[in-house]
Amino acid sequence: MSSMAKNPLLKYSVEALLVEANPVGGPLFRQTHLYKVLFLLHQSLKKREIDIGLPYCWYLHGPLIEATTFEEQTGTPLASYLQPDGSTVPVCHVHDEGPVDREKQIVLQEIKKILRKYRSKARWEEGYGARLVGDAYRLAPFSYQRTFKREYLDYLTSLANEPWLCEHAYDTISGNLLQYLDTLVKQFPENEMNELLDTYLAWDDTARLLVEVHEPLDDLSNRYWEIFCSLLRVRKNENVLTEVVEQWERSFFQALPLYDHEFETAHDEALGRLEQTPDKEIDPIVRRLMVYSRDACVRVRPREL
Amino acid sequence: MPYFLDSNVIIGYIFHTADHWGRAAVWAFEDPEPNHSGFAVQRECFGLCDTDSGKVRTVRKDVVRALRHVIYELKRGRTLDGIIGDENDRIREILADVRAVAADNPRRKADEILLSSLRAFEGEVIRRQKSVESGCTWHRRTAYYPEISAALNRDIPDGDDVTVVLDAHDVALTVPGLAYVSGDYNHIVHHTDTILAHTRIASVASPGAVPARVVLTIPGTSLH
Repeated sequence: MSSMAKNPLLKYSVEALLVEANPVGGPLFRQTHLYKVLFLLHQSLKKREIDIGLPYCWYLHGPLIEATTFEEQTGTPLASYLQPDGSTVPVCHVHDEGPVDREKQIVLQEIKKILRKYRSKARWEEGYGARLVGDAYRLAPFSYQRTFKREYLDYLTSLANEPWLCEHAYDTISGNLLQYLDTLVKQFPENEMNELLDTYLAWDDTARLLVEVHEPLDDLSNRYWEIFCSLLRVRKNENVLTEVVEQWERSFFQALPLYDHEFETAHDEALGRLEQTPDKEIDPIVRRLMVYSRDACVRVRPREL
Repeated sequence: MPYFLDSNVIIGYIFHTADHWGRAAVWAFEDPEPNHSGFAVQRECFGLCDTDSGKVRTVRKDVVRALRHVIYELKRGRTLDGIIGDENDRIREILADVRAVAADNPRRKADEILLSSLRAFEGEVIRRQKSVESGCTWHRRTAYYPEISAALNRDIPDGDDVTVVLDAHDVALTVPGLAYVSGDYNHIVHHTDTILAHTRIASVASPGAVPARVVLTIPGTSLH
């Protein structure tokens, strides 16, 4: 007889969900769908005052289930619910020891309620995956996240798929890009992500330069999204083991200077390609910047900084 | 007369402005005579290769960082007047200039003026830095001169200054008539007699004292 999981309600919820969503282990209900539905389930159960203690964090593609804590809580590796091709496994036996009947009943009700939004009878509706991600993102802690991932990055992807558009409508495109960047500036969560502010501003400055020199922003923006999410998962997670979060935090601070350096290099390279026209109006400001910088340099003793 | 340029001349050239010092730095640097300098000066100005150090880079980064924050605040809806109150005196002067340009031209927003200024500033600094890197011969001294070092150390208190003087002496052994140009009166020019007594450096000059004939060759007393 196997010993009961530390969190039997979590184990029950996952297995009950898999039985409902993908009883035969078909290819349409995959890892990403499992994670998003589990997150939505966790949120809707909270409203009914049931806490399944789902360990998750916000990361690159929305809510992500944290595998180490999941295994520690359920005694089952998260990967054991997945097949090598990424689809979920068929569950033959739901471990239902532990939770009381009322809890199990409510969990099942909520699972069915969620799945009904994306399925007609037993068939998945067209676009269910994108809708699932969208619904999860509606609960994202920062509007900045939604704008960046669901609007700005999607817009960049659409541009990458239509290169002819960039050639013929660049004025409109650059206007749209700058508008996204301005919206993001207003939404940056500076109180909770203050450690990233300088990096964000370096990325934003570089992105604006790339717009000016008509170069794609995809790579740079995806790199910035990586480092943003590297701190995001530290700040926005639930039920994750403390040592895991501490490890994430260490890895964020370790990686940050590399990203700073990368953005600075990209910035200087783009600046080198920018053709600047003389602007008499700003000459006094530039002169003052020069004096300020020179004096700051020379004031420093000893010679080495 | 060939020059050995101290860090303050190079810094005065890169962060160029049309005041006396800036003009003098341009004169010294753009004079057709060859420019030399040493590893210590190079490291002081630009840091070791591919590190984030060096005065030029550090100060430029500080200025850029400060102004990016101002642009960010402006874009988030704060007023220039509100931000000016928070800043130190030097940044306040810069922002007062921004306010003056915005007042003269109401179609230009303060954050756009500041961004354009930042672009022009950085573009100019990068251009000048490249021209310094390519327009100067950088020497890496391998010899050690213990007796000269001891003699210089008796009068010149800062060991880093002595290192630079030794670099210049090393160059002077192969470049006859080398003039050491430094804008640092207290630490270098003030010790001219000591330097000339113990090294092969031919003369020590402040940038403003480079021969008048070079003035004829000077471009770039304005920014563009």
